[in-house]
Amino acid sequence: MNANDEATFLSNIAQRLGRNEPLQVAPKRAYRGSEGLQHSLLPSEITESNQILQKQLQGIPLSIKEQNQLADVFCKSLVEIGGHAKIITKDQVTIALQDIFLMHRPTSVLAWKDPLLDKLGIQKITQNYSLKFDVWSDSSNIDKESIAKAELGITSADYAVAETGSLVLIGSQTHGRSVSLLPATHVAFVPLSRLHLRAASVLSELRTNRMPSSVNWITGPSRTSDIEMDSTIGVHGPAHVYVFLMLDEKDDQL
Amino acid sequence: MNPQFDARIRAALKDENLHVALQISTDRLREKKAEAVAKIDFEAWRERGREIRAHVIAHLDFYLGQLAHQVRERKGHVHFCSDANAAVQVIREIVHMHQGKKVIKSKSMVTEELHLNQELMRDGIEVVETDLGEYIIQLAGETPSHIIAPAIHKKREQIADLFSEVANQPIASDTPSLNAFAHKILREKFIQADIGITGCNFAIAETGTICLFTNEGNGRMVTTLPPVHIAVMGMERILPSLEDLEVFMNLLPRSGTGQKLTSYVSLITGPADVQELDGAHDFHLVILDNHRSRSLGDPDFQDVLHCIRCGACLNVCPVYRQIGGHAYQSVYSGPIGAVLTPLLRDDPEAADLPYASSLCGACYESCPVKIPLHDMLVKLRARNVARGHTSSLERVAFRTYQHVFTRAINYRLAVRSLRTVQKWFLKNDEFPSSMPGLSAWTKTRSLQGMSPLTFRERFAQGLTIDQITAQLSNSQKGD
Repeated sequence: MNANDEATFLSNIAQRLGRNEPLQVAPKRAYRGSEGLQHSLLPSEITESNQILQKQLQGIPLSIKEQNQLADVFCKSLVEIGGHAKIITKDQVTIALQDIFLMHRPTSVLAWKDPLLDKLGIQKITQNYSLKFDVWSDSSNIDKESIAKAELGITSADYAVAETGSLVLIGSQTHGRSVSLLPATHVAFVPLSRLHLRAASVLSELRTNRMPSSVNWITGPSRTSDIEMDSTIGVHGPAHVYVFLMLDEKDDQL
Repeated sequence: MNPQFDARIRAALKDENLHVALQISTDRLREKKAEAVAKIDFEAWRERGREIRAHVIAHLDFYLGQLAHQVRERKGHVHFCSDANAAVQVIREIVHMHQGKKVIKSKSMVTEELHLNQELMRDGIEVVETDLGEYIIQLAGETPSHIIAPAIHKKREQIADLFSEVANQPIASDTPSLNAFAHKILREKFIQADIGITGCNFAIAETGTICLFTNEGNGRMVTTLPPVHIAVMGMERILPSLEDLEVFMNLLPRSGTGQKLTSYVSLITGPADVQELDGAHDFHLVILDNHRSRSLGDPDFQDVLHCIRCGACLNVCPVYRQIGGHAYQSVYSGPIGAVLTPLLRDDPEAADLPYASSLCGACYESCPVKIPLHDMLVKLRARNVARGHTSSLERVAFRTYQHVFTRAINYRLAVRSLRTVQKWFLKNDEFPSSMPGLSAWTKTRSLQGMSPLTFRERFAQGLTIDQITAQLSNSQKGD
């Protein structure tokens, strides 16, 4: 049992590295993360995206123009990998959801309990369509078997990342991890203001707070190429991912 | 080279199906990688990746201590295990403590080092691999043949046969049918399981966070549905801070599968909060040495611990592309396996792996953290010589070589005598394939006879090319 002892384990490593005992003080580093690394290859885009990145790293809100630029990049990135993305206003939510209901014909819907989804009236729209509707935090109704049967999951997202077309979802009591995972179709409504250009500013923001128990980056549909390298979607997670970027009400007036 | 390794290579070379599968898959992965890395200034990201990994490994004692502290702060359990037996014992105890009967796993190479599935199944526990490729090879009773594409060697008809046996009815061999069957059967397993076991692509020391890069979503299922999550990691798999993750979000998927980013990146920090309705409520992190520390502090081999297990070096290796993963008979195959295995496993069988290489350096070129694998392969061969692992025949050959090539007079003498002797053996200017004493070389390669005139002789005579050609053809007629 002694060999498994943590102290023995760590002092062996320290000795191999030429130290008498394990290092206790954080070593100095030349860089932190991706500091100074560019993403885009076009010089003109670099300047612009650098400005956006710097603003977001410092927590400065983007201009409407910059937000729209990111929204376009996000949509392009997500569509490229087989997801669906659209920029809409609150008024267009009903039609957007109805299109999805028509397309995928779910019988039951599972949604996060979330102020944005409440405000958008998701529950009413779904029930008007006579679909079974479950909200995640109603714990009494929820067991693994029944959530496993939901065919459509509706969430928001804590962040979205334009360059990769990713959603970033933080799990909590009201924001179940399963909602974006078990149903075959995942729909997310995300305010434009939560869009980031790159992962860098999302990671540095996450780091400043207590790290949530789960943070899931979702980039397009579930996929596999394990059968003769033939790419196919929806093996375990959702096969269909729809993201609606929501223009703020104050933006609508512009 | 030992006869078993030789026999496995020969068998692989004769396997037509394997050849076709390997060519299609490695080409595809290579092309996709080339496209993906062309979209960013990859060299700059690659250099940063190398720097971060080198920094972590050089200060591994600090970062492991920090990681363990942070995981415990978040009410997770940490287990340091010096070898495979210790890790199996720890995992077995966790499973028994929770009276676990059904274990689901997401893809993890490190648990292959533990032979974990066999160990748990021996206790009567059901263990199901849920990555599609891993599920396929588990049904076939095989081991992964590629780090990121474990069933790369299987044809769809073979997969359909395996699935049909499970289903007890014929399953069609088209991708949608196979996919749908796996989805249905594994979904039940996810819901029934009481323990989830995953690997760990990266662990963030500063926050105690485990990062999983997956595409299918099974990694999320395994950490979300069962009440217990056991993450198993090689001790070197650390990044200092959360911000460092962006570098590896760019390097790992682009190098591994040629994607900008995998479909899912899951960051798990400790167990789920008490109020959360899903997510594992008991979290264990198993940190494994298993002889990795042997390479620490060794200037020749420490860098091998920088590896992020992307598999890019396999796809470009001219040897892996011909023989596939199983011929190596090691958890890790390809160039990284040929280096890592003899470092982790000090046995004669493993010592042979560094010869499964042409030393072309394609592995180094493709490595997202610039590990000089080709140099290490040479150094491992040198280590074999120093330890006396090589055959006496090879030692005699190289001693003779040294003798001949270090003194001009010996060299001239050797050339002259060889030229006289070779006449007895040459057929059409070549040594025959069954040449005694040389057959290890000549049975697979052609060995030309020596020219009747050496360069020195031609130089002394001041002959032109035409004259030399004429002389050569005359001398042949003379024979």
